[in-house]
Amino acid sequence: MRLLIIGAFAALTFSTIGCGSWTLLDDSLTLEMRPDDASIRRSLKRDAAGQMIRRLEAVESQTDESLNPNNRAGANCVGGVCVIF
Amino acid sequence: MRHLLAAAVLTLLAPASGAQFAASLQTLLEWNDHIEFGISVDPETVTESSSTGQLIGLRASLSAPIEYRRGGGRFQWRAAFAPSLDDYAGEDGFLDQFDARLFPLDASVEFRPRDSLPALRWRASAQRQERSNELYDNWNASTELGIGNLLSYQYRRRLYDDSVEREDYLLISSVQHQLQTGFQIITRREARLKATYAFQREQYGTNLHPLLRGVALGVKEGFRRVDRRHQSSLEAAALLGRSWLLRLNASAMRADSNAAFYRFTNGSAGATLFWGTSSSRWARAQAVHGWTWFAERGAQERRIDTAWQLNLDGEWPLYRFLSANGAVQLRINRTNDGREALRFLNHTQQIYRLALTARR
Repeated sequence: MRLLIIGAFAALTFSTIGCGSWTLLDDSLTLEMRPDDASIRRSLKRDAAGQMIRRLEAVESQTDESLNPNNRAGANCVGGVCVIF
Repeated sequence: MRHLLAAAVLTLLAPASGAQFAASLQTLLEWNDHIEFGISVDPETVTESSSTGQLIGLRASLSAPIEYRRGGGRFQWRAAFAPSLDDYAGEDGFLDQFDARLFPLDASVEFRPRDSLPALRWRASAQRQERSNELYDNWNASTELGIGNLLSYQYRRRLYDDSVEREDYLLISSVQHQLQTGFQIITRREARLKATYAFQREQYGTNLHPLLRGVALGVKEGFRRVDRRHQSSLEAAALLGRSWLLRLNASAMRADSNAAFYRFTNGSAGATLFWGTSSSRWARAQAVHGWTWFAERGAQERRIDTAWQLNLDGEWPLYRFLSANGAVQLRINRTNDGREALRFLNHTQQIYRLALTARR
């Protein structure tokens, strides 16, 4: 929670003093730290980092469910903590 | 078995109907030296069934996921069905009762009103799980409404067949509501920072085991546990060269409950190194360290549990539509609670997995 508040505060500060601008990218609210570089904005949808992140997320969506023993058990566990003990 | 056959027939009919199907068949073999179905948190059960204090066994699995997609305009449809069979072996037949049949059904539709606006998303899923021991049979259903990755609401209902009659530790029905939001920061073309926040409210059934009522302070007969959780995460990802991605992440969760026994704060930090050149050629190494601070667990000093988890997995193409998957997982759990009854919480778990996947 503390990290999120610090991150949000930093993002707002940067955008307020002109270091960045808010936009919509990959359906996400995005703060671009170099908004004047129009070529970056045009290429972001095709950028290699974004593609690799989406590939990793696709792998995670297929594999992480089965990696977690508690998910297979169907037990009521949250954050590694179960109903008892 | 009839569900697997239905999946195979649909796959064969797909080209004739002109529909866009993706289908695969996967066989998997997994060795696990700490199998958990909730029973492993009950030391007496483990002691009676195993000489090692941990349930050790082999899981053989067969799954046949099929996926249907249709899109092109403002609308995108998706439907998926992934039936699977699990066969457990080990502990002199004790694990046979956990042989399982799993039938997950998932459907979603997306509508993008304009190119410059985020997609509106509706998703619904239902999963039926049946084991040889009917105590574990349950339904898990959820639905989600979302606006891109900006904001989403998810409702989830988990319902065990005999939830009302049977008292238990873990297998208790629940209703969950979740609201999630997030944003990302792009500093360079190769690096991204992503932050998410989610609020969860979950309400559980009343069929708590009498032992739990004896252990947990403030939990009496008929008590209905209600949790409110604040979850946040931060991820930083950077591309290293053309095929490597490094991702660092940290997450925190504060779980508040109407019983002090269930209040805790959870944190984790991890690093993932991902390599990939094609959809069926990738490798991943991951290390995660987690901490859980309990508010009230009856220990002399504040109880803190820690865990290390190391994962190494990947996929490699063998022949045309055939690929091999492998995974190694190591988890080390420790607690500072020195009570004899909780000594079983200090354990190390190893999982080794090998799978063959055929796609078309």
